[in-house]
Amino acid sequence: MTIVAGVDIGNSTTEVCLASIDSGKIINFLTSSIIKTTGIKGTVANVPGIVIALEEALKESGLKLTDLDEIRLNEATPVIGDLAMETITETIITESTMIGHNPSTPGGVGLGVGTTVLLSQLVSFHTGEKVLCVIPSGIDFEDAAKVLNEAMARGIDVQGVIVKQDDAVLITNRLHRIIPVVDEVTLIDKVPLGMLAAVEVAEAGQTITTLSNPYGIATVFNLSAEETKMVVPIARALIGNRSAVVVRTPEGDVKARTISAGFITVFGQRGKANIEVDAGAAKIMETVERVQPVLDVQGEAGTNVSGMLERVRQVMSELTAQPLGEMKIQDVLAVDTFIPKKVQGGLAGEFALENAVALAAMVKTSRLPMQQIADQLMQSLGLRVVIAGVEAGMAIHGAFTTPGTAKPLAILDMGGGSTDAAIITRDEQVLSIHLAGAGDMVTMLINSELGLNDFNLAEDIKKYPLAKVESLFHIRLEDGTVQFYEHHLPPEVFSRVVILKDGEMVPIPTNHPLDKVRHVRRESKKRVFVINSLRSLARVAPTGNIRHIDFVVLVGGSALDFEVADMVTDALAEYGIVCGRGNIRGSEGPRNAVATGLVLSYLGGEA
Amino acid sequence: MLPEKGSNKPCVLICVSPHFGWEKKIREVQAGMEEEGIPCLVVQAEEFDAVALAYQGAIASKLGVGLGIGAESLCIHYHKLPAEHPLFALNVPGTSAQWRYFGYNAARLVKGIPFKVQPTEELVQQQMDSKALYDLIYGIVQKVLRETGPRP
Repeated sequence: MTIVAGVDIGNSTTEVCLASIDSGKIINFLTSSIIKTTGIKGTVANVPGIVIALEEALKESGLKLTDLDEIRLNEATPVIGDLAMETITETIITESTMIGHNPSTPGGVGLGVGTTVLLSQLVSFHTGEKVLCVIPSGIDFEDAAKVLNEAMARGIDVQGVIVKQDDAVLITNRLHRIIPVVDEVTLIDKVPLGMLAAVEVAEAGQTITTLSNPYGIATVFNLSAEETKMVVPIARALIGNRSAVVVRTPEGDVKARTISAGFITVFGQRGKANIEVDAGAAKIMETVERVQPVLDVQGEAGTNVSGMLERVRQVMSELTAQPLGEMKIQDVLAVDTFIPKKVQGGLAGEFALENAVALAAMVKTSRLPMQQIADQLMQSLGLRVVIAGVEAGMAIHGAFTTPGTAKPLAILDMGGGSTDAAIITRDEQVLSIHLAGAGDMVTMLINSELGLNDFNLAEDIKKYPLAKVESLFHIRLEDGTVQFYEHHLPPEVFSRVVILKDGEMVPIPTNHPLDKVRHVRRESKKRVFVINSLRSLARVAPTGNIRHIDFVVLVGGSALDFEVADMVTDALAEYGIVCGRGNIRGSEGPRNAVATGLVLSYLGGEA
Repeated sequence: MLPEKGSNKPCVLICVSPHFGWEKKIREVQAGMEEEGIPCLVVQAEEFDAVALAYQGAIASKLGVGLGIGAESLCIHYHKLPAEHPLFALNVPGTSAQWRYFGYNAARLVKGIPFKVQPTEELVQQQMDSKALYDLIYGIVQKVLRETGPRP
């Protein structure tokens, strides 16, 4: 009896499949194990992880390392992906300023227009003048209200108030007349004084109507047609707010300018094509498809795109110890997205949604230094180590152990850095391809679209379902069901949207409602995984037509995701394809395909 | 002790044991709740422990939320919580900003919106000041040592 171990080194996990083989035929699968990959895939740093994974699998089946006869490694696919994001619009407000944040409790209601003036200077104003009062920090609400009331009694027309502290309701409650009051303006020192300004506060539950309308601003400030064009970005940034302030300065100048993000040149077998990055994702992908298969992609020198493409090349070149010049980018995936960016010239940390293009690029080289890993394993364990075959071929043989499959069979392996697809035809021919864009790109999209600035949090949002904490004792899950707790929940999560991560609750520190977070998460997954499944299957399909593939098995990390597999299954059902999460050996789920394939290939080699 | 009249109006109950400077605390706490738009009622009690005060208030409050103010402590309690496990407790007399935040958060518990976390700016400022002070003194000590130390 021979004991064989198949070892699959992946980007994130190392998997082992242990089997006993009798008389070159009968395979008895013993155990499998899975641990986190140590070091970067395809380097000798993987060896400690391999040993741990082997020991784990052996221990479970009551064997020792010395019982092993052969270790079979996969020829790891030498692909590496990288990501970049290019903002293609930018809102800059120079000179003129605006405050468009949503303090939780603004005061009063209505629209007020007047000259900005400090509270302390109100005394020097005369009857009938229209003013907007600016109250810096350190002034008590009662004192502020007293001064305002006195000024109004003297006939000064106080039209509205801008306050630094969270005092809007307190001040409003003490005024004799209802005027709009906006509070929590952090950079109040920067509000220019002696300038014409407008303050608007909407009723609770409603949004402002005048300052979010370009013509509204034009009416308030008496703008010309040309000037009205300039205030569009302001109006746009204020849409959906309950309160806002716009200050007009003489040289006021606002523009939403389009940044030139540079162009990329796609070299394909069917010629080359240039495409501007700011043409948007659809145009870029159209170009890529037109010239594919892609031989290389280059960015315009001196632009961010070029920098990002160079970085991918460099990492891959270092990893494989091959010259930089030989590193060719073989695929890019572009996705339209938007980034909430701080508005320059905003005074309370306002954000405007800027359009952006997210790019994933992938480099493929001839070979990773797998032999080094094999040598080192052989040395430290004293066992026979064989590099058994390419990853895609192994994966497809492993996936074929899923009950209910038949050839021609395609697999989709959506990992962190790349989307891999392979197909085996009736006459045993295997064809595989690798495309840019997978799990990491989804994380990047979630991170930017929700404005999180926290990659780990975005990763958790991608991986785990959400819930809303509705009271100190219960939460409402995404599907509306309620879960009750006997002990009260920590105050940090109260009333927040949380991620349910392995029994603990991680609060999301933004004001996005649950539906928004869920929508962003699902759309990001669709835009990457569903698009890439269709793209990759079309490439491996013998006729280029997806409909000619009968069975598609999803394997790898993303197949374990709680919704990606369903999304892909749903999308492929349109083409009459049987698609689903793999169930390797009828027991392992979508995991262990490559390791299982490696063991199976031992049989093929012996026979 | 608790008022019979008025307590049947839905409001947060602020229970306080009178001590030096308690009116200021009451003012800030009330301001916090007013800003959030939640009514409150002040009651005086014999108890000194803020947690016990807050719990009394929470039990008596129609909204189930009580705020206890002791001489050395501040506490927010909720009627569904065990008496000895308050939601928020401050075991120092605190600053006027902290009192205001207790007002905000008692109201927010009623409103069911996320609690307000006090910006750490002031605290950080203090820490930075003490760090700068430390660096300054450290520098001076070093200088003195350098100048006086190595002499034979």
